[in-house]
Amino acid sequence: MSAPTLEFDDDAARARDELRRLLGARLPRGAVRATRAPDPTAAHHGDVTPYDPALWRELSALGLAGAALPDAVGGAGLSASASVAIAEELGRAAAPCPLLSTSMVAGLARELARCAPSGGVDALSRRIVDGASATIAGASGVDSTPGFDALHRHDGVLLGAARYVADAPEAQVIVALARSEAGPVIVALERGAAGVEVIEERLVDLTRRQGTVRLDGARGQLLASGEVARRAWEAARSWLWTLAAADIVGACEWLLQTTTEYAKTREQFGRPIGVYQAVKHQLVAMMSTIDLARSLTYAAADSISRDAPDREAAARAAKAQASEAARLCAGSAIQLHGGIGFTWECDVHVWAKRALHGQLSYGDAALHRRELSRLWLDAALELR
Amino acid sequence: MTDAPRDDDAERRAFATHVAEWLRAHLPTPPAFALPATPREVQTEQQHEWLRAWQRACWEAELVGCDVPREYGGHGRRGLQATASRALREAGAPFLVNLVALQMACPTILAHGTEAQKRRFVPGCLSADEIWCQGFSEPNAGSDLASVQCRASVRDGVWRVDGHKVWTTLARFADWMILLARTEPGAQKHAGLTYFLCPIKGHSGVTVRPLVKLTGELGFNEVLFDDVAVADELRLDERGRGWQVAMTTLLHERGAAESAGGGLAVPASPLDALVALARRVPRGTSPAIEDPWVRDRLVSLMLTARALAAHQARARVPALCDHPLRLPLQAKLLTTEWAQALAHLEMELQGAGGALLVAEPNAEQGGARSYLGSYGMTIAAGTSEIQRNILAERVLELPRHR
Ligand SMILES: Cc1cc2nc3c(=O)[nH]c(=O)nc-3n(C[C@H](O)[C@H](O)[C@H](O)COP(=O)(O)OP(=O)(O)OC[C@H]3O[C@@H](n4cnc5c(N)ncnc54)[C@H](O)[C@@H]3O)c2cc1C
Repeated sequence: MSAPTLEFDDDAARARDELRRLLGARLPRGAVRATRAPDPTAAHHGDVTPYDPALWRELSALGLAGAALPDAVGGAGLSASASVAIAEELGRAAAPCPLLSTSMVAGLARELARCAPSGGVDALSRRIVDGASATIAGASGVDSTPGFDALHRHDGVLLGAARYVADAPEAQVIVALARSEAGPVIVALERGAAGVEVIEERLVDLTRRQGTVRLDGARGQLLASGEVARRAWEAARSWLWTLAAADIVGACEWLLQTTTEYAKTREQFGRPIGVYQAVKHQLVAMMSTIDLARSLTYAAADSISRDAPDREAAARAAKAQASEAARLCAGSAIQLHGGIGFTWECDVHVWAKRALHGQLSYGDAALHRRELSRLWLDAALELR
Repeated sequence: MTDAPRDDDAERRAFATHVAEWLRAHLPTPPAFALPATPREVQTEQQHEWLRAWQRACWEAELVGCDVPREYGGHGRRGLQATASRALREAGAPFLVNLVALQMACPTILAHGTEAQKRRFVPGCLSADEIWCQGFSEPNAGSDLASVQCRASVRDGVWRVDGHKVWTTLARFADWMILLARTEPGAQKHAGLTYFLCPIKGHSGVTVRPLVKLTGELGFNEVLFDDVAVADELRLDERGRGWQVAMTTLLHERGAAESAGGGLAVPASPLDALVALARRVPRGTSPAIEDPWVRDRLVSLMLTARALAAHQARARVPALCDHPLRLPLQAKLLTTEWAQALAHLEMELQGAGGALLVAEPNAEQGGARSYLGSYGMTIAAGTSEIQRNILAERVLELPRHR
C-alpha cells in the first residue's frame, strides 16, 4: 500500500482553532446539562430545548457553514478537510447547533454545482453563506442515510414522509430527495412553506434535534433531476458519512480526555485508579480506535477533495471505524467513571449519547463493512 | 516558497526512478532452496549467505544506508530511505538479513557512538559484512529490562563480561552483539547499566546455543558469557548511561523512528493472499468469500490496513496530531496485532486443513504454525501489554505503576 498524503492547510487549521475558541467560550462545561435538567417523574427523561440562535449567528458569521462552498457564491472555498475539522470540533464540544447538517448540505451543494450547475444551486449555496441552516430529508429505514425512496414528486408537488432528519425542527431549508416520473429529483424547500410539516423526534442525545418531515403538496426549487441528480447524491453521500464520522471522533476524544483526567484524580486503594492496568489498557484501547477513525476520516476528506475513485469506500471506512470508536468509548467512559458515571449529574452521558447517536445514524459499522465488502471483495472478483 | 524544497523533490523523483529501474533489473529469482519468512527464522548457512549477498547488492545500489553520511559507508542523502524501503517492500524483494544492525545497532551507534566507532561499525551494518544480534533479554529480565544481571567489570583496563542472555535472534550468525550489562552493581537499577559492542563469533568465552522455537524452527539462541574480554573502546556512550542508550535502540526497534532499513508498515501482499485463499477454500457448500462472517472479518483487516497507512500520512501533519508520540508509539502494537489477526483468520479459513504441516499434500501456507509464530511479534521488542503501559504513561500521562 503506497503511503497516502493528507492535505490540511493553514486555512483549515485556522477555521478549526477559531471554532474551538468560540465553542470553549460559549459552551463552558456543564452548560448543556444545566439547560436540560430532567423531570424524573416525566415519562421521558430530558426534554427538547431549542438551539441557541445567538450561537448559530456567531458560527455562520465566522463563515463556517459555507467553509466548503466556492468563493463565487461567497463561500470560504476551503478543502473538505476543513469541514471535517469543523465537524470534529462540534463533536468535541457536543455543540447544540445545526452546523453539522448544514455542512452536509454545503457538501451536497458543492457536488450539485459540479454535476448539475444551476441558478437554483447557487441560490441554495448563497442562503447557507447568508446564515440559513439546512438539512437533507430522504431517509425511510433505520439506515438513516437519505435516499430517493421515502418521498415522491408528482405534478411538481412533493408527497410522503422522511424520518430521522437531522436538525429538521431547526433547519430553515430542507433539501428533499424524491423519486418522480423523471427519475430521482433533488428539491430545495423552505421549512415554513405550505405543505411542509416537521414533527419533532425526541432523542436520547441531549445536544441535537431531529424530526420527521411530512410533505403534502409542497412545492420548492428543483435543483437536479434524473441521472445527474443520482450522481450528485452519490458523491454527496461521502460528505455525510465523513462529516458524521468526524463529529463522532470529536465526541470520543472528549470522552477519552475526560476519562483520562478522572483516572488521574479519582483514588481507590490509596492510589489514583489510573495506576491500574485494567484502567490504563481500556484508555489505550479507546485512544487506538479513535486514532484509526480519525486517520480514516481525514483520508476520506482527502479522497473527496480529489474526487478520487475510492471516495465512497474511503467515507464508508471512516464511518465504520468511527462507529466502532463510539461504541467502545461511550461504554468505557461510563464504566471507568463508576457510579458517578451512571448519574445524570456527571457530564459523561451527554457526550456518550452524542457518540451513540452518531454511531446509529447514517449506517453503523457492520452495515458499512458489508457495503465495503461489495466494493473491495466483489469488485476485485470481477477484475480477476 | 524557496528553491530548496523543489530541489529535494527533483532529487526524490530521480532517486525513485533509479530505485525502480535497479529493482526491475536486479530483483533476484528465488533460489532453489526455501527462504525463511523473516530474518528471525534463518536456519541454514546457505540461506544466510544468499540473503547477505542480496543485502550487499542493495547497499551497493544505494538502496540501503541512503540517509547515512558517506564517511560511515552510507550514501549521504536526506530523507530518501523511506522511498527505497517502500520500493523494496512493494517489489516483494527478499528481506534485508542484517535486521538487528539496520534497525537497532546502526541508528544507536550513529546517535551515541564516537567518530571512530561510527567509522568502524556502520559500514559493516549496511553492507552486511558484519552481522549483529541484540543481547538485552535474560532469563530473569524480559519486560523488566532494567533488571539485567549480566555483569561487566574492569580488570587490567579491559572489561570482563559474565552472564546469560536469552532469546537472542541471529546470534548463531552474528559477528557482533549490542550488549546491555550491569557495571555499577551498587547503583540504582536504571543507573547501573552500560552499553557495549561485544564481539561474538569466535570470541573466547562466548557460547551460543540455538533454541528451538514453538514452530520447530531455529532462530533465537541463548548466549553465555564466561569471563569474556571486551576492550574499553567498545563501550558505547558513558558508563552508567546504558539505559538511555538502550531506549534509543528500542525506539528504533519498535518502528517509532524511521531507521536505516525503513520503519514499520503493513504490506498489502498478505491481504491479497488472504482474499485469494477465501476465494479458493470452501466454507460449507460455497466459497468462503461468500460467507458474511468471513467478508466482515476480511473487510475489518483491510480497513485497519488503510487506517495504518493513513496514520503515516497524518503523522506528517502536526496540526492533526495532538501529541507527537501518540501515533509513533502505537505503530508496534497495532501492526503486530493486525498481523496476528490476519494469521488467525488465514488459519481459520483453512478449517481442519489449517492443522496440517505445510509439507503435507494439499496444505496451504499460513496454517496453525504461522498463527502460533505470530506470537513472536507480539512478545518480542516489548510485549503488547508493555506497549499499552508505555502509551498510557507517556501519551496519556497516567501515573506509573511502581
Ligand atoms: C521471537 C522473539 C525474538 C526475540 N529476540 C530477541 C533478541 O534478539 N534480543 C533480545 O534481547 N530479546 C529478544 N527477545 C526477547 C523479548 O524482548 C522478551 O521475550 C520480551 O521482552 C518479554 O520478556 P519475557 O520473555 O521475559 O516475558 P515476561 O517479561 O516474563 O512477560 C510474561 C508476561 O507478563 C506480561 N508482563 C510482564 N510485565 C508486565 C507489566 N509490567 N505489565 C503488564 N504485563 C506484564 C508480559 O506482557 C507477558 O505477557 C525475543 C523474543 C521473541 C519472542
